[in-house]
Amino acid sequence: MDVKKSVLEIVSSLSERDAGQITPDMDLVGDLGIDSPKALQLLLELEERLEVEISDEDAAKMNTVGDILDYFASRA
Amino acid sequence: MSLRIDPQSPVGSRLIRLAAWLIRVILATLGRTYRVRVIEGGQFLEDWSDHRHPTILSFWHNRAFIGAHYVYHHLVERNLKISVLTSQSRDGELVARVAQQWGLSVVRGSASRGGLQALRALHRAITRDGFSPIMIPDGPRGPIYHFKVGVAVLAQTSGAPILPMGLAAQRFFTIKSWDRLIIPWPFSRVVIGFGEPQTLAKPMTNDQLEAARRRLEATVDGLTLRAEAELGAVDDSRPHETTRAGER
Repeated sequence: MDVKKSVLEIVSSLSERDAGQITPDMDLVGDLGIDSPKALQLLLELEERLEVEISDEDAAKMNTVGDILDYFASRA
Repeated sequence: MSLRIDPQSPVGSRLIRLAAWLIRVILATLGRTYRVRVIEGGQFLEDWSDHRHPTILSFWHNRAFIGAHYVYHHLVERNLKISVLTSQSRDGELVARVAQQWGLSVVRGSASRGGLQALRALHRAITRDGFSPIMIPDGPRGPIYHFKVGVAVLAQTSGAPILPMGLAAQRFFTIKSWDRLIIPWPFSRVVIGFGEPQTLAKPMTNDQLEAARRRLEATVDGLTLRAEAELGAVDDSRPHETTRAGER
């Protein structure tokens, strides 16, 4: 399963930005408009599609797209 | 209205507990004098009560006193598993204490502070524990009568329907808070309407979600306006003129 592709697809869908324009350094709130309700959707989508359970503590550390990718890389 | 005490300190904690007890006594005493009538949608409440499926109860913030009265006097006795979202502010601490004294489950947080954590906790409360949360869609700080999308997202992701509510009192005074909280005078008539529970489809685009949010806003507003009209107690200071004009 291509984790990076899945993450970018979900972030792209929620932010309504083309996946090709999304870079790891982008801030989820400031650059992509992922507010709390969208963050809930993001986490639920990630958990469902990638079959993980993300703790509140780990979720709180996800401020950028790169943070999400790093989280999954650390679990690989 | 803001409390200038630290709820974490021993003195503050006792004061909050005392204030919560006082509010409970006031609600119970005042509540016994209110003459409550459900004017529409009573079957939706009965259906929820019979089947006990997790449902999100939604009404405007400035109706919270009336709503709390209704929950305390008419829903708690049905043994429905109800949870309440309160802000992490000192005022929210007070509401949390009152709710806990009633045996309700409390989730702390808001869209502005700890929003994601609160939404996740509510999502778990619905999907894992079968709780029905009371969500004030224009809380905790407004804008008044604006149905925030977070409630719609919670419904959409959890699968729980939103049960919209409108509440009004015949004779009341208002607190000088951002929402002009309504407190009915003793012996006031209180009218309540329920709308058809609304289940949101999965998945939804952002535009579809926004359309659903607007529908919910109009529904809660329409129920509130009809409740006010039933009592001839329309609050003319309400700023939500566009929707109101549409309902008249």
